[in-house]
Amino acid sequence: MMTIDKATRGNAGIVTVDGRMDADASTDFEAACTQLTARGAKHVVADLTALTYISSMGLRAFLAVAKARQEAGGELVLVGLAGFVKQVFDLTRVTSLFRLCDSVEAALEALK
Amino acid sequence: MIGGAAQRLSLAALLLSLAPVVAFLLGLVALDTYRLLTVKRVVAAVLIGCGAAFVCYPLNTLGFADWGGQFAYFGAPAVEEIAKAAFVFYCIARNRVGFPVDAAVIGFALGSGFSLVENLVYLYQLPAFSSPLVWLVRGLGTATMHGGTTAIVAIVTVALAARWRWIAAIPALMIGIFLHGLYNSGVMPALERTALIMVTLPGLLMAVFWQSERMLARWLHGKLDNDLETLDKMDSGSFLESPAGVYLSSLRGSFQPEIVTDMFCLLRLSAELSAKAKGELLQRELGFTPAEDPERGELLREIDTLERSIGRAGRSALGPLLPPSARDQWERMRMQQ
Repeated sequence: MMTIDKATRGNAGIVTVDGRMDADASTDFEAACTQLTARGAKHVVADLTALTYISSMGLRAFLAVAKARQEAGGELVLVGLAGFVKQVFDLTRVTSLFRLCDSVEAALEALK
Repeated sequence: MIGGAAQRLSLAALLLSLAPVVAFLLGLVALDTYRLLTVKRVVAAVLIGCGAAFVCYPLNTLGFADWGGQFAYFGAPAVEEIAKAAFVFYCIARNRVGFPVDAAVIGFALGSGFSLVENLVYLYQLPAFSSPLVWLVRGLGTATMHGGTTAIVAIVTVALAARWRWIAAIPALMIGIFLHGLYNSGVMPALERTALIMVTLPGLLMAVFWQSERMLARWLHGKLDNDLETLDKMDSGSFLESPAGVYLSSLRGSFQPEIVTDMFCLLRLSAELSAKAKGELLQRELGFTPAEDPERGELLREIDTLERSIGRAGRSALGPLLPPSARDQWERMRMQQ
């Protein structure tokens, strides 16, 4: 089960995810990012501090959002990547595709 | 003057006969969203297809001398399909092809190379002023048929190989030879045959590609989730309580402790290599270019060392945890390349 909160700050959409990101939840995550960018957000900041699990479909969702942001001249920034989720990103060697920040504030500052 | 005009016409005829098959091949390569094949491998397949045509030329000459025109209905298709498909069978046997998508591209590339040489021979033998319609039929019909039949042989073989192993080559070849013979038999006028190929082949290959992509995605996500779960259990220390861990522990009665340790390490490294490979496939699917992995060579060497240390009996005992699968072998081959 995963919950998703959305917010907008300036030209960045902030998506806060909590729980486990499986196949269904990854679709919700992609949809949330698409909604934010459709409303004008150029960048997306994903706060993963409370994300405890990610499946391969979740990983694919992050890559898909990152690619879409890259093509739109924006960026997907990950906040609080740790534990199992970080291990998945590292093992599949996709960590280097993202900018990592410790907090949402730091991510917003980095995007300025 | 006449010689120059004839040369220009010959070149135009050759281009006319090659353009459709090249366009078709480029289309297939573009449809390979996971980029399973490199351009180098596709070009190599085209060249090997050219070689297959050179091998067939004397055999066909002998066949036509003995059997006359009838050889075109059964003999030439058999000789040519076997010659073209030999490399496909080699690729499948050596795990260089894993899915219908890469099999189809390799098969079509072989057929394209074959038709290139065949058309050159034909061009040399025919008067330079022969009708452009002949070259149109050879390009859209015969050349595409050569690519198409070998692609079909490759797709059928790779689809059946997991269950039937080398026997899969027999029905695949029979289908290829039958279609080729049917094309040669003149059961339909040349233009209609060409039109039929143009209508059916793209749809058939698109359906195969679509199905293959779904198959690949299912395999990729299913295996990656398993690998990540295994790695998580190993890193958190809960692996030995899982069914796989209980099975591994049960091997302590049959193998030396150091061998069981190597088995554990092999499981760990195999899952790690597999996760890396699938991470790369995901990146390719979404249009990223995976970065070089400096640790890959070391990882592959360590896996080789562990496999040698465990020996054949150990690998066999590990079978339930690391089942020998053609797709896993294909993935490892890709990582080695």
